[in-house]
This record gives sequence, C-alpha cells and structure tokens, in this order.
Amino acid sequence: MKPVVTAVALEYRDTFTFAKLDVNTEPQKTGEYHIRGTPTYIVFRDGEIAGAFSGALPSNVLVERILGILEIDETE
Amino acid sequence: MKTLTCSLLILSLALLVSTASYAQEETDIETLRAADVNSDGIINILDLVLLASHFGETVAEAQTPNPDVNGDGSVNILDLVRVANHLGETVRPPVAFVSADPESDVEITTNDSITLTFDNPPADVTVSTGFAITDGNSVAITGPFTPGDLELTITWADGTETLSYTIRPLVAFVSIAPAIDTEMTVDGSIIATFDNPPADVTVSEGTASIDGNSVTIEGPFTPGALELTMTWKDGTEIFTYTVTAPDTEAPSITGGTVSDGDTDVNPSAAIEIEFSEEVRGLVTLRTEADDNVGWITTFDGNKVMLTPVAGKELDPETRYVITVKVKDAADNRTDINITFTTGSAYDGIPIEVTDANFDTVVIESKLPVVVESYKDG
Repeated sequence: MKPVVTAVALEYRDTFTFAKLDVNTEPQKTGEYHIRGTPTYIVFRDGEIAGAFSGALPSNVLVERILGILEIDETE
Repeated sequence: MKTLTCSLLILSLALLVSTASYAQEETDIETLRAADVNSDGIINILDLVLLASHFGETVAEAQTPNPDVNGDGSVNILDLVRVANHLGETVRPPVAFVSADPESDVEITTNDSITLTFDNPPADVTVSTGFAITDGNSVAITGPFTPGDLELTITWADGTETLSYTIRPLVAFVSIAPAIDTEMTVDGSIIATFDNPPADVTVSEGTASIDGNSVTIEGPFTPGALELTMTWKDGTEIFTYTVTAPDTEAPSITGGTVSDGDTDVNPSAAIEIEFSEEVRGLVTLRTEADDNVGWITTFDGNKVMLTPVAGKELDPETRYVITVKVKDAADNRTDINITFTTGSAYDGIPIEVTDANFDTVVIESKLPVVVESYKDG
C-alpha cells in the first residue's frame, strides 16, 4: 500500500471511500471502465462516474483533484 | 210424367243454347257456382239433369246439392234457364283458408313472417298490416310489425280471415365484455348486452342470469380454450376465451442484493428484493427491536427497492430485519422476514474491489468512492 493513498484514504474517510482495483485479476471492470494504465483514479458519486484522471500524484494534488471532481471546497 | 216433361225441357233448352247466340256478359262467381249444381267445376248437361230431377220441388236454402239455382225457393223453369245460359262454362272453386304458420294467438317478433295456406291459389289478397306475397296456395305476410297486439285481417276473393298475434321486439345481441379471444379466470364472469331484454337464454358453460338488457354469465369455467355458446329466443352467439387456472401460488423471493442470513452487508447501499411476480403491500426495514428505520420503499413490478434516507443510516455490525408483507394480483400472500447484519464501518483503509463486489462497494455506496487501479507486482 502506497503511503500517499493510505494517508489520503484515512484523512478523508468521512468524505469519500477509497477503493483499489487490481487490473491483473479483475479484467471485467478494468475493461468496462476502459482503464489503460495505472494508477488511474475514477471518482464515483451516487453510482455514477463523476470524473477520472491518471498518473502518480503528490498527496495534496491527489486530494485537490478528487475534491475538485466532487465539487467540495475544503475551506468551507 | 215429370221426368218426361223435364227431359223435353232440357232438350229444348240445350238446343236453344246450342243454336242461339248470346251476348257474353260478365257473370259473378256466385251465380256461376249456383249454376254448377253438382259442384264439379263445369256447368253442363249433368247440372241440368240434376236440376230436372228436382223440378217443381220446394227446396231448403241449405240443401246440397241445391237445384234452386236462383234461390227463389223452388226448382222451376227459371233455374233451368239460368243453367242453360252458362252451359259449357267452368267455375272456379271457392278458395278456403286452411291454416296459418305461426298459428293465431301466439307471440311473434317484429321481423317474423306469417305464412297462410289455402286449399287453392287465392286471388285478390290484401292484408291489413304488412306485405303479402302470393305463391301458389300460400301467402307470405312479412313485416316489420309494430310491437304490441296485432289483429291481422286477410281478405281474398272468396273470404276474409282475421288472425291475432302479440308482437314483441326482435332481440339482437349488441356486445360482450370482456372482449372475445382474451384471457379470463375460472371464476370470471361475462356480460352480454342486447338491444332489448332477451328471453329463454341458455349457455353452454357457466350460469346465465338476465337483468334488463344484460345477461351475466358466471363461472366456474373449465381452464383452457373456452367456446361459449349463448342461445336466446331470437339467436345464437359463440364467444371464445382462454380460461386461465386460478393463481394459488404466493409470490416468492427470487433474488436481490440481500438474502436472509447475510452478513457484512454494506450499510449505506440501497437494498433490492426481487419477487417471482408483481407484488404490492408492505416492505419495511426495521431494527431488531422492531423500530422502522425509515428507509423509502418503492414497488416496481416484481422488484422492491429500499432506499437510504439521510440521517437514517444503518449502524455497522448490526442486525436488521426486512419485514415483507406482500400479495400478488390474486391476493396470495407472502409474509416473511429477511434478517441480515451490516458490515463494519469504513475505517479509512482502502477497500479491495473485485469484479464480484464492485457494485456493492462502489455503485451502491452512499459515500463517493475513488477507485484507484493498480497492477500488482
């Protein structure tokens, strides 16, 4: 488990759930969501895709991208 | 002496008639019939002979044969002259009424026809109501007749006959419900509508009851293809249906996101229950203490959805009960409970998702979910 993800998941556990999908062992969902590389982050809200992005990012950028997709202003 | 005198008279008259030239004049049928003393249809020497045999006699009016040709009470030379005047002429026999079909004093419909039979073809037929068509010895009288009491007078050249009937409306079939070639249940009923109250209604299956212009046919009917024949006084109709066997089977649970005894159920995910058929009734999510959690229940055909409500989230690692009290269209009831236990609360540790649990963990989650793809190794 990468420390970045673990830290973000723990810090924002009340805001979103963090899940991990192994593209080697779960080909159905990998294909269904057109995942072409790792890491790819797909943000779901109410069962629908709210947004997605790829690439290894620093924790602050990762959080920023996720909250942006979820339209959550951390300063509020 | 009388015979000799008559014979001489006859011969004289016959000679006179055979040699004289008479002006032909129209003679009424009754005069001709009287001259045809022996009623054989022709006026000839035999009538003269018969008349002569009674010459000089006084005869009763109703005597048969009646040689008093002119009806003056005695058989005399005037009778001989009258017969002699028509020698060689044929006499049409009087036409008598024989019967009516239907006979008088019965009930017929507005559209029925009445057939009269005579012993010979009648002439100059007229009727007081309807239209008369003469064909040989028969006369057909057709309507339509006006409902009510009918006194029908038939007049022909030789007589008059009066017949009485009660005219009722012809009862015609109008419609049927349910429509033919549809499905109906064993204990269903069919309503046939007529334009007037029908009489003498019989049906090949079920029981018929008449109420005004309607006939209700009630089952039980035999399951399968039904060909129902309905007969009433004025007609017959055949209706076809498919009779379905009664539904005695209660709805059952055939699937869903939660089954009885499940553990580790996502506390924030909606719950779907799938039944074997369309249901209605009550499905509620309750605590073990039987308190209603307050989730929203939605019926959609054979599916029931329990949707989370903000502020009424399920507690982690807690037993809940879904009480199911539903019935199908035939009122067959199912009354069962589904007991499950929620999983632990999300503790901030990323959840490993698979093809199998993806929908439960991601799609049905109340919280937003960020899925990170990774490649192990």
